[in-house]
Amino acid sequence: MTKKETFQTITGRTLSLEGLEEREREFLAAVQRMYEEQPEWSEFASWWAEAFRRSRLSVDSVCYRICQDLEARLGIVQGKVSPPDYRDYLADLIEVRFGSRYRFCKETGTDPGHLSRVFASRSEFSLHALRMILEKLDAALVIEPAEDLANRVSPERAARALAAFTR
Amino acid sequence: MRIGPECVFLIPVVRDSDRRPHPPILWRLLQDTLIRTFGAVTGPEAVVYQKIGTVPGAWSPAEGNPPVEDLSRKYAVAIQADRVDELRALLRRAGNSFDQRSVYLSVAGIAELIEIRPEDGFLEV
Repeated sequence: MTKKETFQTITGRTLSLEGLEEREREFLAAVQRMYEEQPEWSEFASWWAEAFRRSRLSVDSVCYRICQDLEARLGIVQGKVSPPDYRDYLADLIEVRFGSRYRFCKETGTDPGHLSRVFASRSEFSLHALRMILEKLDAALVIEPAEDLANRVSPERAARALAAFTR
Repeated sequence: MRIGPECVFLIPVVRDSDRRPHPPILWRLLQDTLIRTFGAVTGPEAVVYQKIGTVPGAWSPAEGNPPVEDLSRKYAVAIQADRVDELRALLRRAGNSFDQRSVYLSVAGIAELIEIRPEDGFLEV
């Protein structure tokens, strides 16, 4: 049986686990063992940040992004982080399509200050503006049942995905 | 190796205005910004995330009103002394992003409350 070589984030973004270095695989295996103990949100955040620092992996490693995602799931299920909304989806799409939020703003003429305020939940995009942005991101607005969202952000789902890869 | 003063700061886990928790993107932005600014994970200059914990705190919404209990995340950062103002500026932006009126910072054991003003801006995207 082949190992599952992808990890899906809370926003549905698929991260490839193919071609990881041995130390990245070892790091993820340690993360998976810790995660299965269902740690408290900040306890996990502290643990993985220290483990990551000691591993000397780059923040460009997919491991960094996976750990941030795992941490968010714990925070959501423990009531300390709000579930992802369109802002989180936008941030991920921008990262995938443009590489950085800075480049996205530059190439699409989006005001970075306004984008920062939106990400801070201090401002909103109008539906018209959001449609324009989605067009540039080659994305569409979808309304889904809350149950589907809850399933996608569950720590158990992520733990299973990691286990399938590391075992 | 001597680095500089240990700076400890607190980020409450709920917004001041409506007491709601923050979205995942904000915690990501804070972490990314800290690493980008102080090279926490990859750089030799700074040591970030020696400790992150949730601690109870309190603030008073207005004079005469009882303080509101807050749960905060505590971060400890060791940076060079001449970069403390840079950290203060970062925390002012974080304060706006995390919808806070003030942010607690302790530099080498000396505590201060950083007042957050709208003109301080937000965590950069």
